[in-house]
Amino acid sequence: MIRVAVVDDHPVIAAGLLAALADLGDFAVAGVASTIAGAVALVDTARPDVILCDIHLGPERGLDLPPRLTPPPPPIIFFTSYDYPSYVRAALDGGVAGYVLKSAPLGEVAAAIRTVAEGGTAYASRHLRNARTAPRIPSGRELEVISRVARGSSNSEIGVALKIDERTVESHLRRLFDRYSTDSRTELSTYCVRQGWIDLNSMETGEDKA
Amino acid sequence: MESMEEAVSGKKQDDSVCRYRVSTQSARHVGANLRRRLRAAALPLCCVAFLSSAAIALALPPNPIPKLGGIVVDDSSGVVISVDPASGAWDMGVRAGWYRVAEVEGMTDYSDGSQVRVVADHYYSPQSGIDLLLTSPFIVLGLAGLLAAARQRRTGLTIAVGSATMASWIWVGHLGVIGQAMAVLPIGLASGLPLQFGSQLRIGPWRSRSIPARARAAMAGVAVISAVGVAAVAVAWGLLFGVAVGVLFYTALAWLIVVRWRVVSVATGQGSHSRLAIARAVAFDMLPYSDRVRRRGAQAERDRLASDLHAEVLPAIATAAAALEQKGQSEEAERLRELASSVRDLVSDRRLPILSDFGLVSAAEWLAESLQARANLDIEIDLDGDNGDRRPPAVEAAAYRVMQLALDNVMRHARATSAQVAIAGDAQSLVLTISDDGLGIDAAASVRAVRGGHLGLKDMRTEAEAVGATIEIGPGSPRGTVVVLGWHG
Repeated sequence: MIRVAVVDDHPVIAAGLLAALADLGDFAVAGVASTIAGAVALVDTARPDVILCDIHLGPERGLDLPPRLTPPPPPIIFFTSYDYPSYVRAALDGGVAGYVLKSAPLGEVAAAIRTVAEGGTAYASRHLRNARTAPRIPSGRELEVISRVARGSSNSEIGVALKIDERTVESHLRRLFDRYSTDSRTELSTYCVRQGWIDLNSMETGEDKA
Repeated sequence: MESMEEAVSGKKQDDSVCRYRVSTQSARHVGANLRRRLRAAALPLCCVAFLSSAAIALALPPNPIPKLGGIVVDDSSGVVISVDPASGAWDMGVRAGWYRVAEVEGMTDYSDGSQVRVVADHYYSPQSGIDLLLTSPFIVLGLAGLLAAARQRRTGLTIAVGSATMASWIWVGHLGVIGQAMAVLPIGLASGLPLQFGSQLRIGPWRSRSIPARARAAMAGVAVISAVGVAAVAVAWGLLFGVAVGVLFYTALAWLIVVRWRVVSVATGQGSHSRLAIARAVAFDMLPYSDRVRRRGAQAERDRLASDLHAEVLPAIATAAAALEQKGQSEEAERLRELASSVRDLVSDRRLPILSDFGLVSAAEWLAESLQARANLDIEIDLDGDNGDRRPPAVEAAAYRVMQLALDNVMRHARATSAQVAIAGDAQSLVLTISDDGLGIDAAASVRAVRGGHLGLKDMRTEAEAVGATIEIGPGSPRGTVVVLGWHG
């Protein structure tokens, strides 16, 4: 039996996935968490064999989970709807064992769990191919800056909103421009939208994220 | 005087041979004869001199621009710039640290990472036709004066006026405003001559053989007015020239900004921008980050040097050390390895152009970017409370080194997901704080014990104390480690 823990901020998805896996016979439920802190506690107590973790956990990012776990952590699979190379790269950089899309059939998910439980890795070759050249994901603070840039805020407005100096905002932008080889605020914004880092539709409600 | 000269001139054709024979009879006649022969030769000599100097003037490059020794490049909008690969100067404005690094298939790579297409490798010389047009009245006047003086048999004056006029004509385009005003003198003189000796030319109203004093005075007046007029035209032209230069300068400056922007756009392969869009981008977006391009160039140069050293010098030293070892000279081999290690330190750590050229903030940004690219760690830079001043180089170097050691610890031992570098203060003070959200100093120390590394705490302290700064290393809140460097000038 492989004991599986699911970290997802949508409880129905977590429950449905675990139920479906339990039906397959060789999986057991180790627990469910919806936050990073909850996941850390769950892993410490239940010691699952494999963790399936969503990348988008409300305000938190699943990418932050692996380094927070007490070593040695069990293998982690990112189970997400984000089909973007930069997230795959972040998973690889973070030593994550697998990357499976939520759109994948159940059999594929089960196969991935079995593979990583035996010490293997589960990445689609298409994902690996693109991940090599994928850009680095901006940090949480950088994303806050970018989403305000995309909304047309000036540096001083961003500084006020994030309670930082304008010079710090400029520093963030200098590094972002350099890192992504962009030359204007508009270019940077569209680049980040294309990469799936900021969501134009949720931008109106983006205030509460910051 | 005119009538006497006229009489001599009239007889010349008939009895010159006879006179020559007679003049051999006495020394007095020899001198007079020589003068006469010189006078006879003056006109053809002057014509030859005039034509040959005109030929020389035409053969010369019309306006030898101070040679930049560079190339002429052109971006997609057709703007021409000449660039000096040695000094990085454009034909207007200076771009320090910007030079050609490679040339492939008609594209030239520059050290700032931009690429431009090389269109031609000759110089753009904008005047020549215009020069000739502007100076042609002076040429005509000079020529007329020359002819008049020659017919007057005034050899010395003819040659002097002729050569001065030609010198003016040849050089007027090359002189500054003051030089052009000076050049007006011989030109004015030359323009006065045909009027002064107009009677000999038998043109216009001066047909009569003897000219009344009133008419002569009128002629002199006309000559003076003409000279003054020419001078006025030259001065006005000089003013016009000055205004034109000013306008051109500002236009060129604006264009250079736009062109640079375009070059950068081409280099990064990001779409095409309309000129208006570029101008707006320059005005609203680019200016705060204007030294970014230069910085990229400096860093590219540093990276190139480092990779050369790593690829060529260090392996060569290692090979030499191995060879010495085989010969049993292990002491020398060890010395060589120490040399290699100090070279590596120099390249990778201390002599950072980005630090010396652009300061601690830029160096911190660069360090954060390069560390981030290698590790799964977000490094944030916080400039709240920093006014952007530069500190003494030694202080900046020590601060950078401490930052480097502290971040190295974070990456190796702390298991942190994020780190923060805060720089605050002014030219006389610096508070550098490096914090992380990792295991904390005690746990990191135990990890270190397992891995057999060292935390570099002593190195940090040494660096700080060398410049009179204090350093504190302690646990962070709620977790992680905090390193604080404090300095007061």
